[in-house]
Amino acid sequence: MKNNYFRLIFLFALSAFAVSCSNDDDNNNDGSEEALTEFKYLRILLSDEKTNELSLVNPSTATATFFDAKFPKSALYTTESGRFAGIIHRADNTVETFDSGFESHGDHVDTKGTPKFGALIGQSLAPTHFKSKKGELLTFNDGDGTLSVAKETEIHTVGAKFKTINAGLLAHHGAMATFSNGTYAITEKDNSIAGTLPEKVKIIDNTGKTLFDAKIATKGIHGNASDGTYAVFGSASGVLVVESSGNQTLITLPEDFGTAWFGSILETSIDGKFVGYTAAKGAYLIDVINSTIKPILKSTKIMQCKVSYNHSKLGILLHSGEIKLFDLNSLQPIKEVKVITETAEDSKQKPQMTLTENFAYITSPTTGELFQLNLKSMAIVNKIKVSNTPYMITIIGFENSAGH
Amino acid sequence: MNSTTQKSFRNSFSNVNRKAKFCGIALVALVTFSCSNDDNDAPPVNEEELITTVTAIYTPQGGGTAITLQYKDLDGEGANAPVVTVSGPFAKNTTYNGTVTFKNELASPAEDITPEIVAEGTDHQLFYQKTGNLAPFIYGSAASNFDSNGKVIGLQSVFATTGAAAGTLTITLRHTPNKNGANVAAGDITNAGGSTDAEVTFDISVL
Repeated sequence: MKNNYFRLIFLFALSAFAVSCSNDDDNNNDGSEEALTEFKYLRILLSDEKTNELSLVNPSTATATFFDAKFPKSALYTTESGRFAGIIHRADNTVETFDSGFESHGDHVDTKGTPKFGALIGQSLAPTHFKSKKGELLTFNDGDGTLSVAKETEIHTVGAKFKTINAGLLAHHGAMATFSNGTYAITEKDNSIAGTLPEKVKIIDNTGKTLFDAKIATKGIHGNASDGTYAVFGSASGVLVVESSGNQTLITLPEDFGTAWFGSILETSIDGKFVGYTAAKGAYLIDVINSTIKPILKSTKIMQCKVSYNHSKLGILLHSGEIKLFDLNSLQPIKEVKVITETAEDSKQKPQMTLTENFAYITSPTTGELFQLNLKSMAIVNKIKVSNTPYMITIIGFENSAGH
Repeated sequence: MNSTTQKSFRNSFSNVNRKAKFCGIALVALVTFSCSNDDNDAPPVNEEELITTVTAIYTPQGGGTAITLQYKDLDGEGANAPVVTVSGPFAKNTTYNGTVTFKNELASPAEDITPEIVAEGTDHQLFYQKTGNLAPFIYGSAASNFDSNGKVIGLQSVFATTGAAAGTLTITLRHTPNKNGANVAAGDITNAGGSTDAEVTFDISVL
């Protein structure tokens, strides 16, 4: 009787041990430090919908510091190098720049300064679309159909200004892409369709001179990405693929698309492959070399569709609060889990998401927090206080923890 | 479960009279240790190393007034301009021994990065480039000025003045330079490669 009593206690102890250990083991089964914390030299930058406040989050310490932008409700984009961000104040005709202070030296990262705004400021009419390639920052200015261009190396140069490239275009809601040879694909509007969307794309040089006229007229263009070889534009007539040689082709949209078309195109880490996304149909992989379009996730409930910082994964956040993670090489789902509460499709304050290799970051615009989701355990590991109404989000810095 | 706890568990069964006490302790210990959250055990992340301050002190051999050159930029690149100071002119016909230090004064307390440069000496080299009619700055010959491979690190330099002169001195700290490059060992930065950790320039004169 006595022995049975002690056996019972022993079994209970073993059970308590097993249960209490199980979750931790699952979270950290690869044993790497980065599985537990974000890379040291990576930051998350957030703008605010109602105030000028910018939140700069250090996810490795789950802390935030705050800066005052010139205006609220800015769109945020990361420059090609990863060091800087472009802060686009479309309604206020202004572009600011922000420096993470980190400079990648390949195998390690140097700290070059404290995080701060750059001296370089752009003034143009309704700057909207932002791209950064070949060391340049580019905005398409919807207000007058011009491009503004500046170099990353000028960001701390006092008095530096964006240079205007005027290709003689009508004002429209435009887009541009930079080719590896330094020329640009730029949308143009001929008013063959109503509204602000452009219909065609031509190739220009850095003076605005037309190198190759548009070859294909579409029924409207929105969204683009480029890998330097191909500039890919979403269009109502199909996926428009433009090369620096002037060659242009249309990839036919899937048969069941009807009137739907991709309004967002995302670059991936795979040569010649891009992600196309439309809320009406879902997320698809566009292969511009083989002219194919394959579904990644067919859904009309997608709230956010984002490629990871290294362009190797696709994260999809549904209105239900579920996140689905896909490997862009295999197109297979890696993980999926419900991480946040449901967001109404007509909500005016929708969460924004961005992804690194190990974590997803999701804003909570109603509580003023940034949720850090561990992509291995699929658990929210931190809720970091940011400005009260976080609006847009971008990653700056590097997926690297090696300093000197 | 750690090995100590496992061992305690095995021993407990050798003595029936201690079973009850042991089991209670073991139960508490098991749950306490096994419940610890690994997420909280992540090693602390070091503050980023920003070189805010470069100081070169040149001391005359045989005594005299040392000359201090200092570059201080507490926010690094951008925004506030660096503060560059030179304590005074060098004296003619004098040989100075110079030592350079690097600090991060944003850290609290301020962090001296110089020992790290020495510890990683094979990955670092300083270069001294002058303009004008200044005499050359050459590497000091002390063993402490060389890395474990016998290649120069260059924190110590010698400046032997002659007549009156003026120009600039640029001190550059290179990370992972090619120390075997042509003339690199002699202080020529041309073929050094690597990346620049710090580069500061001073206006100096010899009177």
